[in-house]
Amino acid sequence: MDTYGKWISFYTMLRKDIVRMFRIWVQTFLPSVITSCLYFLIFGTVLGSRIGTMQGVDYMTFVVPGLVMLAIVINAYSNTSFTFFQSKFFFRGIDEILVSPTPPWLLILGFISGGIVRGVLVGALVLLISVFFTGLQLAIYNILIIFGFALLTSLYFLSRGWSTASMQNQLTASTSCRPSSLPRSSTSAASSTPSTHSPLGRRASLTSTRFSISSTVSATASSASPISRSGYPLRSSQA
Amino acid sequence: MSAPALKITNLNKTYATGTVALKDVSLEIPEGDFFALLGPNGAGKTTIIGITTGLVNKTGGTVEVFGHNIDKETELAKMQIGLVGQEVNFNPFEKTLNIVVNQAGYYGIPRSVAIPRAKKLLTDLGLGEKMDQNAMTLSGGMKRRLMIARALVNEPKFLILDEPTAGVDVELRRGMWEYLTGLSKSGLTILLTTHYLEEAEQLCKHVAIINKGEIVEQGPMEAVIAKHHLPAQAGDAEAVKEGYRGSRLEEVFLKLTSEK
Repeated sequence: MDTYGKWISFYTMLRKDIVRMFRIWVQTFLPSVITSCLYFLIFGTVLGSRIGTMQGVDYMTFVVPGLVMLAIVINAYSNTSFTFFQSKFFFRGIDEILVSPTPPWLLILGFISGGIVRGVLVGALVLLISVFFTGLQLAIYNILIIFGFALLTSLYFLSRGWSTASMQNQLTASTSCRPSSLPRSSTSAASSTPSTHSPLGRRASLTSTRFSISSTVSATASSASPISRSGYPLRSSQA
Repeated sequence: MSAPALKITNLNKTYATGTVALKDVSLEIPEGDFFALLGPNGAGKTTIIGITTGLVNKTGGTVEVFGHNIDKETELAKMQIGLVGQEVNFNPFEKTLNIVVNQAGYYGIPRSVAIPRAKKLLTDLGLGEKMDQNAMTLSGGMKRRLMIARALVNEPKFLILDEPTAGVDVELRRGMWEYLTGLSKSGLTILLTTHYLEEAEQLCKHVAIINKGEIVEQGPMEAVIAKHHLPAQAGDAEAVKEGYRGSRLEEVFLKLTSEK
């Protein structure tokens, strides 16, 4: 398959995933929106009025980065883990890609791209809602940094989702991969890079209180490491 | 002379559980052949197909598809193959047309080409009115035909059918065989596994019988039957007429697989 063919294959996987997530928007987008609204209403409006300001901004504005990050984390993680798990163990739909000339690295890229799209989209939705709740007072200092962190966080957590879905053979003994075949980097990355780095960085980019370069570097490294190795147990397990 | 559609040499497979699925299997399917790979459940048919299509890792041996080694020229080898698997393996919440078009996409075929091709295939297979419906609304026979359409969308030179008619009623089965016979006559090489031996006998030019991971017999259909067919016994004609005896191939199959 030439480069154009690979691009079409990648586009097909990404398009399929995006169509799926919009088709079931009640399951993919709505829960994060409702959860965020509840957070804003309960913690922001009710409790926030009693807390006052945090680091120079009112409480409602202070929690926005965390809520955006929470939505990204949950959606990136669940999209990849659910899609991969469903595709490998329930419908066996992954077989239709495995029999094709699509190389394994492209298959992984297709899966993770869907997770990034969902993570970033839901993050943007929650950010939009937060603008409404904060009364248009949200200070955004650098949209590119926000986007960068959304991307990195999605990448990191969807990688974790991928690893989790791959490990399901511990539950279904007759199928899937062996845990030993998972990249060690995926577990070491999780322990060496606290996920709080990314929310901190994101908060910094929103409130401009500080910006941690180390957060970016560590998030990038930890995001890339679980997916950088080839040889994921895509094939039939007992294989 | 052109390379055979499939050439398997000393293929071995031992699963992680220790189960030996294939023992030094060697097989050659000429281009344009309609080839039957027969064997009891668990004999290793699906493992051979899985290795050939890249779904299962082999332990040893070589597999070539139209001269392309599946280890060294994986993409080229896979481009030649269309697979109809044993189990229904598409997302039932997807639309019928999208399942076929997406499969074309995985082969690098743009949607502008894939959509008309998929529509024609679905229409030819009697699914024209179901194109915009979710796959979950299809009957068992329709799902099987959808899988055939999906396998043909990349215009393969080598079609692998792993028990494509399991659970399909007689009328639909006959329709599917007619369609596949037409494809075979147009030059498509077909590898078929089935438990309907009388149909395999009628359709296929060559046959290989596998038992417990070993090929116990292979060759032209008539030659294999002639070599192993039990001599006629008194009352055979009546028995066949009454449905007490199976086809000639069935007798050969039972003889070879029960001997081991």
